[in-house]
Amino acid sequence: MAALIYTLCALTCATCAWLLLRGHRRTRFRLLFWAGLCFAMLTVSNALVVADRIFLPDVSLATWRLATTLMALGLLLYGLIWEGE
Amino acid sequence: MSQAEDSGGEAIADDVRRFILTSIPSVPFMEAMLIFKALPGQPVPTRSVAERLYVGERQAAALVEQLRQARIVEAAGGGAHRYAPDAALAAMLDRLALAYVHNLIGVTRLIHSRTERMAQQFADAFKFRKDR
Amino acid sequence: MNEMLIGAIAAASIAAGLFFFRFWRTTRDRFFLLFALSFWIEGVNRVVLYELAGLDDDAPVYFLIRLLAYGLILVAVIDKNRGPRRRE
Repeated sequence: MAALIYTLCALTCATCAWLLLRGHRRTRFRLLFWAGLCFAMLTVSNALVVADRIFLPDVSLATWRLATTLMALGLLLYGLIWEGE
Repeated sequence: MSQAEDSGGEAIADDVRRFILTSIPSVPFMEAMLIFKALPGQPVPTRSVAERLYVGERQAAALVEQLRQARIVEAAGGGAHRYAPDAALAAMLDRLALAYVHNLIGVTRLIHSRTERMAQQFADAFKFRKDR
Repeated sequence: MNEMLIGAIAAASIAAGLFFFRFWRTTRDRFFLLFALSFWIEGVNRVVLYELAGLDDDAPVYFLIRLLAYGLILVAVIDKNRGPRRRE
């Protein structure tokens, strides 16, 4: 159940990442680039939860997951703060 | 005189608003576009643009290049360009020019509005189909 | 280390939510309100549930709230692609 939900979350993030990066390709608006990267990394973060639970039960990927999430949010904030034009 | 927050004149149509936020990066860009638009089909040298806008030639050249990449003008040889948007773009630019006349404050506010611009760009990316 | 990361993530989530909240205030497009709520819920989620449930992602309350947060994003995307332009 947990794995299913986290997979769904990963898919949602992947969809957002795809839409944003596609938007960046079309328009060159840089905010979309950073936001797209953010959601791509959030996809990885959610996927790592599933991997942590199922494939690597004896090792905890918690720190990696958290670091990935933090970096993702950092990229998003960078784009929101700097890219305005 | 209307004290509406959004405008000092007529309201700006949604699609014109969207066009401004996604395609008009600055007021000089707008003014340069209007210069070319006033002389459709005629080659306009960059030097003229610089004089009319009271800017340096390099800045004028940069604006003309932006207009060219936006397919609003095309090269006409000899350092000049002419107004040459396709039909759909021309129609939108006509409406934009009208809005600029009837609501200068509203249009320039939109051009300068960083937050609205970013919001529009972000939201637009999530539309599956481009025409929505 | 993990606590630090969680705290930083919570702060960053709330900050990101603030940007989206501002977008909503400026444009009145509920798309942004949903994004703001999503990021805020996730931010608060991290801190509160870390206190209650530790890092155990198996705890139902943890992933149910995350489901809610991401569900809001899904709703926002679907809503944006459905009806005609409506600004409220």
